[in-house]
Amino acid sequence: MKFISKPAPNYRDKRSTQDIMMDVTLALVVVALFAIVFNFMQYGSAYGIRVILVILVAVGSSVLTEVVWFLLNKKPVLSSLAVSFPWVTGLILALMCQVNVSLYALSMGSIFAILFGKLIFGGFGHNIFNPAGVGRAVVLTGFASAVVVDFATGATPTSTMNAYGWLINDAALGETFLSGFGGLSNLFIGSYAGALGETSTLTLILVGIYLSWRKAIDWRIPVAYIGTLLLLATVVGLSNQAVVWYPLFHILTGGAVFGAIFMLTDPVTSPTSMTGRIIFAVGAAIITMVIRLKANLPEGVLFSILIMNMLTPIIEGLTDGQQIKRQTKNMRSILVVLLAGVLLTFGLGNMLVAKDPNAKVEPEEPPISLKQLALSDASLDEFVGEIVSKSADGDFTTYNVKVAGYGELYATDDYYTYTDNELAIVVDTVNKKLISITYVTFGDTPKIGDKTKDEEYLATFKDMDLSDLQQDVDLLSGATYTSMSIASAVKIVMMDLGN
Amino acid sequence: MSLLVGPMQQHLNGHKDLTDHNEIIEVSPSKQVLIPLVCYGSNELELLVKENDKIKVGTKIALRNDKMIIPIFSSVSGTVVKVVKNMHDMLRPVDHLVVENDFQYEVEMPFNPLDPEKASPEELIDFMMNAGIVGLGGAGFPAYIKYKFAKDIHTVLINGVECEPYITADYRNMTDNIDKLIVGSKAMMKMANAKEVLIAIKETKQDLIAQLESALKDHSEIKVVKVPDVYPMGWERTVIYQVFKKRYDRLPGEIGVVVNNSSTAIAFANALLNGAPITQKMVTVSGDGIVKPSNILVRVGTPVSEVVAALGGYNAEEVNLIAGGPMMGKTMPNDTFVITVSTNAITVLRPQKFPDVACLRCGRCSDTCPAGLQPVRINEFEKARDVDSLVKLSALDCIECGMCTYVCPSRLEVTEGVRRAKRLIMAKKK
Ligand code: SF4
Ligand code: SF4
Repeated sequence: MKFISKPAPNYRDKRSTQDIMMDVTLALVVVALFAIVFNFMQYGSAYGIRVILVILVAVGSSVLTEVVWFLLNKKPVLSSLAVSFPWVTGLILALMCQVNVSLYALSMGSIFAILFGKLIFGGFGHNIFNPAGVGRAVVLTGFASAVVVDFATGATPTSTMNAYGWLINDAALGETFLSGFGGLSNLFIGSYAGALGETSTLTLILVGIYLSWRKAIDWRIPVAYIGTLLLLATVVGLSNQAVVWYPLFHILTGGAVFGAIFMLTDPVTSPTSMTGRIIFAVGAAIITMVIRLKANLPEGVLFSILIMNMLTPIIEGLTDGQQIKRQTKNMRSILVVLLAGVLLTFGLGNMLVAKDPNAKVEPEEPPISLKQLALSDASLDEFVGEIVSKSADGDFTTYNVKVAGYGELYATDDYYTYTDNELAIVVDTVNKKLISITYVTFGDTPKIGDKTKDEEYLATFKDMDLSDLQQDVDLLSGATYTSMSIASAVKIVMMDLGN
Repeated sequence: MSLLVGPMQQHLNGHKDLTDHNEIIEVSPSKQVLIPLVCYGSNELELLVKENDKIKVGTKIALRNDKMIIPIFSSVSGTVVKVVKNMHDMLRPVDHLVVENDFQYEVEMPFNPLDPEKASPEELIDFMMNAGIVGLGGAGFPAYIKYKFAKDIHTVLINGVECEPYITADYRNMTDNIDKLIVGSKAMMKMANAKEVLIAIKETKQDLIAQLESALKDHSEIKVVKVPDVYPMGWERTVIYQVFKKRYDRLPGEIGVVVNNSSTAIAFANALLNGAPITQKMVTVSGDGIVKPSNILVRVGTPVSEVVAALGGYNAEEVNLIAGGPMMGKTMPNDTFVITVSTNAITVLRPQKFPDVACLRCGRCSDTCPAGLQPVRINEFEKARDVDSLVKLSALDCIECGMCTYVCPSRLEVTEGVRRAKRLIMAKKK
């Protein structure tokens, strides 16, 4: 007979951390399924398969990173994995990305998330930042342009809202905006372009209720976060006479609900006391709002979570003590934070200027190297063009040339539509000389092409002949994109002449 | 449960059906009993008998006579052998008086019965003191002291909640002794000069509630209050908050309430009616590690090894042998310890093994701590040996209810960390 001595109690609840993480996994899988089905139905099987691939890559890279880590540290791989839950990080990360995310970027993000978000802190339970959040930040900042163009799905509501300056106070503009995404109800159901798991508020609310009921998450966090966000957006909306649905927009899009349910509730990186969790969520909502309004960034949710993760130890310290006796103090702390948030967003809200992206208020012209541009310059080749038509009239031939302009090449924001620049170029076929150059269609936006609209500039091409092509004639000091576009057109015509 | 404070309680699987309706088994000691010479933490007792004295059931054998008066009585008749050191369920060896059992169980009344209807409150309090009635809910605090200092009491709360898993001794004691429960309760009401008695019973014990309610028809001053089946509903603060929705600082008297365990009331009635001190106990022996889980009637001083043997023995190679229930009872290193006046259960469980999982920081321990503490934070600062923070976290208010370990999904020994923290603070205080 052996009496096993151990400290009391000798009784355990059935609920284990493994169970809890299984519940979270299940919830994530439901959200992932929505993303897969939605992409299959909306965009076709290529997109659906792509979503599956994105998820597999993120989960695979996360798990593999841990496998390698455990092998290097000579730990039993399977049993260590079973209590480290890397797939949860992978799933969350995948669901925060869009369908066109580069798989390379995503796997780098996953590796970073696991390695620098979790393992170097000592593994599960010891990390300071939400690992998936770290991974997403890496994908966003390190691989911003790493998207796969084959999987274009259109602009997301938040990036579009960005273009509106985070304020819509004109009902007609609001209509245009909403109709771009099928209306509010569609935003709620989630059939619009966005990060895979973040679009369907409906699905997220359902799994959120499930997780709260299973006590896998504390309902206080999502409720406090979304509630505060709603309150702050209402403050901004009212003080700016914004459209009525303006506050709703803030919670329906940009991963607010996803972040509230899956990331802010991550117990490891949030405070342990109830008051702490509420302050944490309220703080995150305030920061989300500040980032959206002030920094004019669509990723307010993500960065607010990472910032609050950092503040978790301070919040914990704030609420330490006998919780029954501290109730009044704790309530006061929450209200103070909330009030500060309201005042702050009220102030920021007053600085907002509504923008109408359709009114062609353009982004600044990107800087271009101030160099002497020569016709032989290789960079001209980027401005692909073609001869649309050629009509001869005696010695003179008129070429109509279509050539890509700034918009086509550099303005990736799909909301704007650009057309090619189209030029009519008259040449003397006998002397192989350029006689005149005029616009047929000016595709570039006014500001970017200003200089080149000048007759003066167009005149510099006059009398140019074939030999100039070899002689590296300087075309313009401080070339603009449009000047390059025109030079490219000239070059195409000259080449045609030469043949 | 409120917005900022967790539920501070939780339903546990009680496994009460293992024993609650079984036949009560009488377990008699073999040739010797070892009566612990320790009262409410003190072993500074005056021994009233010497070697080779012939004594009877009820003979007063020792007395604690300092700040509090607690007599100890023999549970068998026979011959005093000697005083030995033996393991006590407080987990340390203490003096025990060995009595050779003559199996006659000859009874001697150490005090005369008293009619509670006629006696004055003062007489009743003195009687309670001399009868050695101690709190049978676990702590063994002498019951008379509460009444001696009672002031502006409106309610006597009889605690029949019995929230520890597996234990059904109070329940069986009540179902079998309803009359005594009423006599004892009424006497306590008189002693406290209270207006009413509330008997708190778990709402799930419907048979007992029905039985009590019909017995209480003629006693309008006694009422049953049903409380939820959660842990630790049997803790004074929890049950008082449940019944009165009030919290107090140090003692329930602050809000006009005196609390006594139902078995204490029954033992008190037994002393009043029969002139009999506590020499026998109703004890639940249960768990998945014992062949025949049962409620037993057993004499104080009977070694637990004999109790276990009488119930068919252990049914596993390795067991956790617990003096008390699985939540608050101490895990014993062997089964040589004896049944004491305040023993209400012996729990035998098969040990469970769990994989190592890090603290999830889920805060469940804080949300369910009935004392409103933050065990996870206490554990963190205990590891850092940061006494100031531990004091700020009120670690000393921990009642060691075991809830934090119970709920911990990572299966950490959270309660033990809090115990270490308490020791750390105490060491610094000295
Ligand atoms: S053992 Fe102490 S700290 Fe743990 S739940 Fe009970 S009272 Fe709270
Ligand atoms: S219940 Fe366990 S895992 Fe959760 S915070 Fe407390 S100690 Fe950590």
